Amino acid sequence: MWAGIAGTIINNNTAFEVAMSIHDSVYNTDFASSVVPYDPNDPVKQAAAIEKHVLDTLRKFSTEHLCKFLGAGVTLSLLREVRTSLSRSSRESL
Amino acid sequence: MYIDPGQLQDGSKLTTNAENKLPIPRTVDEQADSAARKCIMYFGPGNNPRLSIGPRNQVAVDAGGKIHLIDDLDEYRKSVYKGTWNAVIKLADELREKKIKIGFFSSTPQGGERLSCASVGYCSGTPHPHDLLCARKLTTPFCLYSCSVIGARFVLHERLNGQSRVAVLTIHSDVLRRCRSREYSIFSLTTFVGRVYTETRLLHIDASRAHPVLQCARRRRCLVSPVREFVRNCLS
Repeated sequence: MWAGIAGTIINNNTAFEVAMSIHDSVYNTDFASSVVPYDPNDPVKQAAAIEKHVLDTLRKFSTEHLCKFLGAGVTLSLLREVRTSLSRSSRESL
Repeated sequence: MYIDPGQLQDGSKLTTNAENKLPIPRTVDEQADSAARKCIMYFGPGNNPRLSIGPRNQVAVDAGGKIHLIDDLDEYRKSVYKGTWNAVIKLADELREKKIKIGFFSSTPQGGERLSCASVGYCSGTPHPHDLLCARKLTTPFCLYSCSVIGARFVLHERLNGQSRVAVLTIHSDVLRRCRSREYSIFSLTTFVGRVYTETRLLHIDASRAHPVLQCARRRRCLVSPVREFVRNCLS
C-alpha cells in the first residue's frame, strides 16, 4: 500500500490539518483527515508532534488492516513543518 | 478545509486572465490523494523505485532527488558495527578527496542496490555519477552474453569521455557459487575480468568468497583489493 500525506495550517496558525490517503496502486482505499494543535513558536516540538501523529495513524492502519506501506508521497506544505524527522522515522515504521 | 489561494498565488508571474483562476484551491484530502498517486508513479512493476534518465544521460536512481530513502547519515551509522562504519567513511573521504568517480555495475535494470548506495553516497558527499552509457562494441556482445549465460550481476558501463575509470565490481555470491560448481565457465569470468581491466582500473571487488574472481584478476594482473581486506586494514 502507498500513502499520500498532506498537511496545511488552518484557523489562523492555531491548528494543523493532516490528511492521509491510502492507495493500493489501483484504487484509493481509504482516507482520513485530522487536526493537530499547532504552535508556531516551537518548531521542533511541533515537528515531533505532527510526525508522531502521522506515524501513529499509519501504524494503526497497518496493524488493523494487515497491510504494509511501501512508500509515501508527502506534500511540500507538510515537509516544511516536519523537515528532517520524517524520513528517519519512516525507517522504523515502513 | 480550503487552502487560502492568497497564500499560493504569485500575481506577478501570471497573465491577467489567469490570475483569478489559478491555482485552483484544493482541499487537503484531495492533495493527499494526489500525493499518493504521484508516489505510485515513481514505483516500477516490481515495486522498486523507477530508474529515470536525467540530464546528460545520467541514470537517476532517485528521480532527480524526489525519491528519499533515508536522508540522515546517522540512521546508516546506527545500523552497522562501528568498525564497518569507520571503514566506509574512510573510503568515502578518500574517494571524495581524490575525486574518484565510481561506476556501479548491475545487470538488473531495477538497480535497487544502486539506490541504497546512492543514498549513502549522497549523504556522505562522494561524487557518484552512474551513467547510462552505451557499452562499447567490444564489450556489448560479451556483456549481453555474460548476462544471459552467467546470469551475473555485472554489466560494463564506462565513461565515454575517458575520465578516471575506476570500477567497483559487485559480483553476486550466487555467481561465484555457480562458478565453483562448474555450472558456469570460469573462462568467461576470466575473459570478462580481463576486459574490464583493459578499460578501467579495477579497484574493489565486493563479493563473499571471492576466490575464483581474485584468481582471474591476479592472472590478468589487475589491481585488486577485495573489500574485506580493505575493511580489515581499516579496522587494524
